[in-house]
Amino acid sequence: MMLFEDLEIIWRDKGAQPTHTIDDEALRRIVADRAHSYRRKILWRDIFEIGMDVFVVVMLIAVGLWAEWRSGGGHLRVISPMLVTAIGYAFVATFRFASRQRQKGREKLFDDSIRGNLERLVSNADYQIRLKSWFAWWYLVPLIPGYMLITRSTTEGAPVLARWIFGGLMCLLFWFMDWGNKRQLRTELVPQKEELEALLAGLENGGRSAEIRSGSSPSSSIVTWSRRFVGLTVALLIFGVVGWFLWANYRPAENPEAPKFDDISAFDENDKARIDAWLRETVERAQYPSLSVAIVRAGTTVYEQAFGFENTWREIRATTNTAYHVASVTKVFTASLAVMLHERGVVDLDLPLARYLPEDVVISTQPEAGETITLRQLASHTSGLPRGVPGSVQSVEGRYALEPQRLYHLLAGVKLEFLPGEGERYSNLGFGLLGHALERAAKKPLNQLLQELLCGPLQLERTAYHVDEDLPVATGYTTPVQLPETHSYRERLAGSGGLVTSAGDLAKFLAAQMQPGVFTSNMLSQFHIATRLKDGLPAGRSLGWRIDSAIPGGVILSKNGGRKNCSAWIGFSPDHDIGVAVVANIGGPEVDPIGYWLLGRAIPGGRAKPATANGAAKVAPYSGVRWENNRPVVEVQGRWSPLASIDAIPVERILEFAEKEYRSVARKRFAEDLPEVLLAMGHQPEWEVTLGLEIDGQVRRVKVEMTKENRDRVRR
Amino acid sequence: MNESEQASRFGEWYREYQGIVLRIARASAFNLADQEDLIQEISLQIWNSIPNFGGNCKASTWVYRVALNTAIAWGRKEKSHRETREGLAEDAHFLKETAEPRNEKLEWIYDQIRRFDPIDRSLILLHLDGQSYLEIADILGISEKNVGVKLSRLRKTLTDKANNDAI
Repeated sequence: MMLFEDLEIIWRDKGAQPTHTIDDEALRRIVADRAHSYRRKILWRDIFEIGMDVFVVVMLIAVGLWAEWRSGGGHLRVISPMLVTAIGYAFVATFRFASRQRQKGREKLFDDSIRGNLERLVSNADYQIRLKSWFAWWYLVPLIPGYMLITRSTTEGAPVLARWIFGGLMCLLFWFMDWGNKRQLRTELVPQKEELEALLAGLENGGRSAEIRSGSSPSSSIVTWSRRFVGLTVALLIFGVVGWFLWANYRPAENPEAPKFDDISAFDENDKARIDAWLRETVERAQYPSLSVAIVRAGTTVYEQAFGFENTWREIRATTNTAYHVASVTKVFTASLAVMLHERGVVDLDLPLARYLPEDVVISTQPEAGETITLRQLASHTSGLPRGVPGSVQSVEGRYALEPQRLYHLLAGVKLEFLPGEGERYSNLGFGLLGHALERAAKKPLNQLLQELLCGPLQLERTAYHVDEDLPVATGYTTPVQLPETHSYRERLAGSGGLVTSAGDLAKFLAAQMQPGVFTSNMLSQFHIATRLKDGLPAGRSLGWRIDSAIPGGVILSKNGGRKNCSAWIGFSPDHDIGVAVVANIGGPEVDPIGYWLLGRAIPGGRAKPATANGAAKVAPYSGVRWENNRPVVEVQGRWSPLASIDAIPVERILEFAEKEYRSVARKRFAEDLPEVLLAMGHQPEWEVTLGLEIDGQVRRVKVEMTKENRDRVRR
Repeated sequence: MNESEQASRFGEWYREYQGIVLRIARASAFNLADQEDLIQEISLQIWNSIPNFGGNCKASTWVYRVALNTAIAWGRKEKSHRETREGLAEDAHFLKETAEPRNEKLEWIYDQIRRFDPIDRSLILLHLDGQSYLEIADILGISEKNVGVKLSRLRKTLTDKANNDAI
């Protein structure tokens, strides 16, 4: 029988102690080395961490400043979220660092009692677990505004899909980081903490700790779960509140709707009030930051009004004198300058462009054809040049100053879409070249020509090719998310889209386009009458203007313009001497319909009937027509159905009449010129017609408005 | 405290208490290489702890605390120590075997102690080393009564086993 005392004797028997001794010197050297390298490691870790934090903060501020600078500056809207993010991050980093320092002081010391030491280790593990499980909150949430801005800036101009992919990759990266943390939590930190807690439990009670070690204590898992629950609830609450706020405040912009009034040609107080009310409604509906409108008749402005803010952040009210970017509306100004310089003998519109460029410039990949392109062809989109400018032609970070050498270099590689004068192709490049040719021929910058020839005589005070820093311009906004966006002219030429002007100035310009004055009758006829193609047929355009007819009262000459950050439309009826200008400082919805609607209703009788003895509006009730068994199937509100009748007239009768009257083009006239066809067969159509559509075997009567947009789609 | 003072205190403690460190290492690690590793770790911690020693307790109590805490922490990371140990093996030749013959019964006691969980191991080691309940309570951070309860159970477990194994 052995007693514990016997074991103690064995233990204390000096002869049995110890089997090894320590080489004092060697150990001391190793220990000193390790202590030294440990201190160095900690120091470098701290330096690295602080360095990273400082780097991130500096980066955030730098990106903010950069974005601010890119957007033209002045509105703190861009830099503010970055500063908030930077401050948020600095705050989190400081907090993190301070709490780390508190922990670090005692990180590796073991001079407390075993229990004290274990308790400290548990709290350390707890801290690590908290840090890791709240990873998303420490590192991601405070940075989200910054990430969003960075994403926006880095994907500038990229297609929507690329933006989504970029955003998706960012999300994937964060998810992966978070996943790694969670994994480490699950496989390392939590088991470690549970082990420590089991050891502590072994100290606390009289029982054997081994029993507790076998499983994690139920209380600790309850704590973990309740913590998770609280965390989840808080997260859901925050997301819920933010989401609700966004949802409650977000409403997608809708396209403008046609006004209820039909005739405003009197322009009395009543008419103006109706226009005001409708435009106010439209601004609300389409969410324009601002909209500026002017209507001019017989040289006098009969209506002008501006709505909203030229800068929504600083709440600067827009007026009809507020200057806006008008993008392609520029082209009618450039074309006007060309005609004026032609009249003065500075240029000859019928001479080739090549004469106004340096001799060694090669135009297009077909130089012989390219050499024959005339200025008139450039001004009427009949040159064969493609739509876009083939690359960067601007210097100094995309601002206005054209670098001709770059343009010439790119010009040699351009492919003609048809031989000059043999077709029509809308070309920004063509108008850019026209502007450049005018500058070279007159030996004056385009803006100077504009100021001397047009702005001076017409008293346009807010109009310039935007090189004038003294001319403030309404802040442009992107759509659908309204963010300030200053356009860069990097791939655009001033003569094609560089103009800045106000609704008031546009009204004066329109007035000049209608009656002889600054422009002679001879010049006006070049604006009003379609340019002829080589085969003698009229093109769809005159010099600068698009010619179309959405009203029965004759042609409408119009020009629209739009970019990511602006939308503009001007148009006039030369026969009725009425013009409309509409400008907005946002990329969409386009303001074109607003202009058309106003112009149509401003012309006496223009809106009275879609077809009159004077002519018929180019409108259609359906947006597509196809033929099945010699019967038309039409697209109405996105849905295709066989057409049975129009205004209770059986379709067969209409077709019979059309075939007799128009023969081979009967179907085309039916599809594209319905008002004219109906009038010709003795039926006076209204703007709204009743279509009999076969839906599910039954004929349903549907009232449909005839619109220009529908007809445009039919033609396509 | 400058480095030379730290070094001299370290040397002083080492001469006096290296038995403690050796016993704890031997009771906590199964093979010689691991023991070397643990001894190194304990020595480092003792070295680091020297500036914090205020003389509020006996130096031996201090050394026990640091050594046992380090051994517990080391034991928790034993796996990772084994993995990284290879690099250390080269420069860690400070354990010199003595000519003493191996004592089978002593080996048996060490073997049993190694099988205890770290808390019980610490308790029985301190007890075998002749530390009073008061000192043990101080080192572990629990009450003297609790020490008594735990030790009487441990003593019984160990003697039962000794009789069972008939050493």
